[in-house]
Amino acid sequence: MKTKSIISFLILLLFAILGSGSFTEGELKIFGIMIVVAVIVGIVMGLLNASDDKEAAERLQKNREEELKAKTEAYNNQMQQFLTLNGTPDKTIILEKLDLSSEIHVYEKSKKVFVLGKEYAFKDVISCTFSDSPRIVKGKITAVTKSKNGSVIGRSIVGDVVAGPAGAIIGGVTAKKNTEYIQEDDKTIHDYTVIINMNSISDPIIRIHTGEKGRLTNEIVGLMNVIISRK
Amino acid sequence: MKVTAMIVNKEVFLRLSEAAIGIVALIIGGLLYIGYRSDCLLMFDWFQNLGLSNVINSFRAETNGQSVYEWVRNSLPAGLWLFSYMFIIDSVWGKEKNHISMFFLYLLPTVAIVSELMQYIKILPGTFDMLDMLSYILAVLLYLLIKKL
Repeated sequence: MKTKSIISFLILLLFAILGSGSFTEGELKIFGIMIVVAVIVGIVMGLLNASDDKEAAERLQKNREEELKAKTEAYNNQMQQFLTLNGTPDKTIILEKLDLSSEIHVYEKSKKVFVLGKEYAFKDVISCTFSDSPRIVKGKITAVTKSKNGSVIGRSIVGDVVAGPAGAIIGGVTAKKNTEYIQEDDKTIHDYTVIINMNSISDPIIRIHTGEKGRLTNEIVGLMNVIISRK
Repeated sequence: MKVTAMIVNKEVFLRLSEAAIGIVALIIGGLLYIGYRSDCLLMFDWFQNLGLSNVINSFRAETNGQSVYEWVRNSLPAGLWLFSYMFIIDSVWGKEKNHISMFFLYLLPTVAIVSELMQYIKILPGTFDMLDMLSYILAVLLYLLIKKL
C-alpha cells in the first residue's frame, strides 16, 4: 500500500504540474495552494485514522484480555465444583480450552464417562467411529518465462491455476518466449468428525467435530474403543 | 508438474488497459491544448525554456487553419485531463479500495470542481465557465460509468 501511495502521489504531482500549465501566472498560485492544502488535509486525515485504528486495536485487545480473565475464573469455579463432585478423572481430553462442556473425562473405577458435559456409563457406549470430509487445495504454481536462448527474462509468480482470479499469469506478451510452470503437490485438508453411538433413545449419536486434528481424532476413537472393551 | 501455456491474467490486463486509456486521453487533451489554445498559457513558457518552441510552433501552424468547436478547444482538454488522472490512479490501485485510494482518486476532481466553483463566487481569479464545470463532472461520471460496466 505504501508503494501505491507513493506512486499515486507522484501521479498527482505530475497531473498537478500538467494542469498548472493551462493557467496563467495568477491562477497558478491559487491552484498550487489548493493542491497543497488538499494533500495536507489528506495526510492529517490519514494520521488521525491510523491513530483511531491503533486505539481501537488496543481497546479490542483489552476487552479480549478481560473476557479471557472472566472466562478463566468461571471455568476454574466450574471445574472445582466438578472435581469436588466426581473426584479426579483417570483420563481427560480437552477439545476446547476453558469450556467444561467441550471436554471428555473418564472415571475407570466408577465406569463412567463425561462427554461434552453429559454423564454416561461405560455400558452406554455402543460404538465409535469417525468421518472425514477432506478438501483438496491445489499446489502453488511458479512460472518462469525464458527467452529463446534460454535466459530468464520474465518473472515468477504464484497462483492457483484452477481457482483463477488470483491465478497465474505473465505479462509481456509480445516477445517470443517460453513460459514454464512448476506446480507444487496438492494438499489434502482433512475435516474429521468423531461419531459416538450411545445407548440413548433421545440422543443416540454424539458428534465431536475435530477438524484437521487427526491425532486428537485418533485419541478419542481409541479411548472410546477402550471404554467399549471394558464395559 | 510442468505446463507450458500462456494464461492472461484478467486483472493485470484490465489495469494495463486502464493505464493505456488514461495515457491516450492525456495525449489527446495535451495535443488539443498545444494546438488550439492561446500561447499566453504557462505551458508555452515551459516549452520555450525546454527549447521545444520550434516543434510546438510548427504543430500550431498545422492546426492554425483548422476550426474546431469552442468546447473541444476550451473544455474538452480539462475533462480529458481529469478522466485520464482517474483512470491512471485506478490502474495503480486495481481492486484495492480503501480510504487512501479513494483520497487519491477523488482529490483532483474535487480540487478541479471546487476551484471552478470558487471562480464562480469570485474567490479565485479567472472566469467561471459552465462548460469547464460540465466537462469535469462528465469526466467523473464517465469514469464511474465505465467502471460499472
